[in-house]
Amino acid sequence: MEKKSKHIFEGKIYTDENFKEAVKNFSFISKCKFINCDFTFAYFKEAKVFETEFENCNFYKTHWEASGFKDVIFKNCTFEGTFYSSSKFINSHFKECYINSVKFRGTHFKESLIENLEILKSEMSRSIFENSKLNKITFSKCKMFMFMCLNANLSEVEFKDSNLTLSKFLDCEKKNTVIHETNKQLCMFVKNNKVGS
Amino acid sequence: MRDLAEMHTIHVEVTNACHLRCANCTRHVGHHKKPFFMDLETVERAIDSLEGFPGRVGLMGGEPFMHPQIKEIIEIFAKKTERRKRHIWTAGFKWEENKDLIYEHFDEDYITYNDHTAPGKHQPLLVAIDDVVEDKELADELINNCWVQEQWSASITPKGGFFCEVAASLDYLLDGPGGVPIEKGWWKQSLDAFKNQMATSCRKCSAPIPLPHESDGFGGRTGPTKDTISKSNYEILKERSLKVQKGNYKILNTKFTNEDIIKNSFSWTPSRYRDFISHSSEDSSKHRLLSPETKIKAR
Repeated sequence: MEKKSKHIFEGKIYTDENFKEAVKNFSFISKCKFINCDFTFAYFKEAKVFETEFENCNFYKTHWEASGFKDVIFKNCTFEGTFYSSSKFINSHFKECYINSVKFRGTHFKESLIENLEILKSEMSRSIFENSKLNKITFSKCKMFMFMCLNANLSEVEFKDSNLTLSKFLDCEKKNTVIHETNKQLCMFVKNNKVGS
Repeated sequence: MRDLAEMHTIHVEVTNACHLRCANCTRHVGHHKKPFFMDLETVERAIDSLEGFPGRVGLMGGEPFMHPQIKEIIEIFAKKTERRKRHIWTAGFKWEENKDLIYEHFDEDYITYNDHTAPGKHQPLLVAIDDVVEDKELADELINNCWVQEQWSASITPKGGFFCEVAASLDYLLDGPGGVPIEKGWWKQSLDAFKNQMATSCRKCSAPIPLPHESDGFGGRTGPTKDTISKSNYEILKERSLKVQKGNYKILNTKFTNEDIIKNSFSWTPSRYRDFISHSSEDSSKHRLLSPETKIKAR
């Protein structure tokens, strides 16, 4: 059973729009484009977002907890202190974004592409990358307890100074991917049938 | 662990009485010699203390409808919280009698209904982590990343405000030091303010340990349900727990190595033990194997 949204964004282009401190929980966003928009301190919890593009947007401390994203692109966006816990991304794309101190706790990335970015000081515990591609990514000083990569493709991915206790890499394809000794990894499981270098 | 301000819900636990007798209940139902019933003044104070909390206020038990003043409690919730800021959890006690009152004051998606008539799994909660996890550093890590604290809720009981809903119940069961005073903004405090609670409860709890799940026993409808407990908890509970005194327990006397923990963690999804969410008895009927009217055999 799903609650009908009061906040509907459909088929529109928003440029330089100010959503600062807006409270728009349970939003339904479909086929939109947001360019240079400011989402600072905005609440978009439990939103459903489809076929939408965010470009050069600022998500400083924006709340997107428990939201669903399908066919969504984030390009050149800034995420600092953003809340994405328990969200799900399907066939979505993060490209050349700045990601610092973001809560991705329990977030599920499925058939998604994350590329050309550094994920810094973020919480990724219990997050899952399934059938997803990670290309030129550095996870630095992240909390990644029980993090899981399942059937994922990791190319030029670096894990450093992060906590990977009880993390798992299962059936992944890895290329030029390094898990540095500076990570905490009290117990970790790596079983990759398709091992690269 | 996360700050309480980040949680989606903080519960007001109005009672820990329940008509069901699940195995490994998160509120340790069946163990208590005397359940609590929160008085109305404390309910008001608890809700007031959550002013400004960005998440929801949960009306929680036990089974809230076991509280003799539940109608007054719901009126207080209706008066003091916005409709989209309140959420009720029920195990379906007298559902037909109560559902109109629930629908009047709660949105359907913010009613969580679980009468335990469908197959259910529970994580054992009374295995003291220090009894079974050999690697003490790993035990600390497991506690610091406990899924209950990171994915479920904090709560308020008559004993105060707690950083974790299972810790709140353990405090009652183990006669712990109690919660922080129920004052406005108590939930804004950093986790340091709850260290006392963590020291009492987390070391006695098995929520963070990757353990095989166990059947909830259909709430006790198929017979007495047994809780899994470890040796040091048995020593404490044998004096104070009805369930232990009745022999409804089994001892887990295993030492887990890091390899065991990895192995157990593969199929371990404790926050997703049910693959459906029900909002009503009708919703639940699609999944149920037993009638909710089936007599509870466990006592």
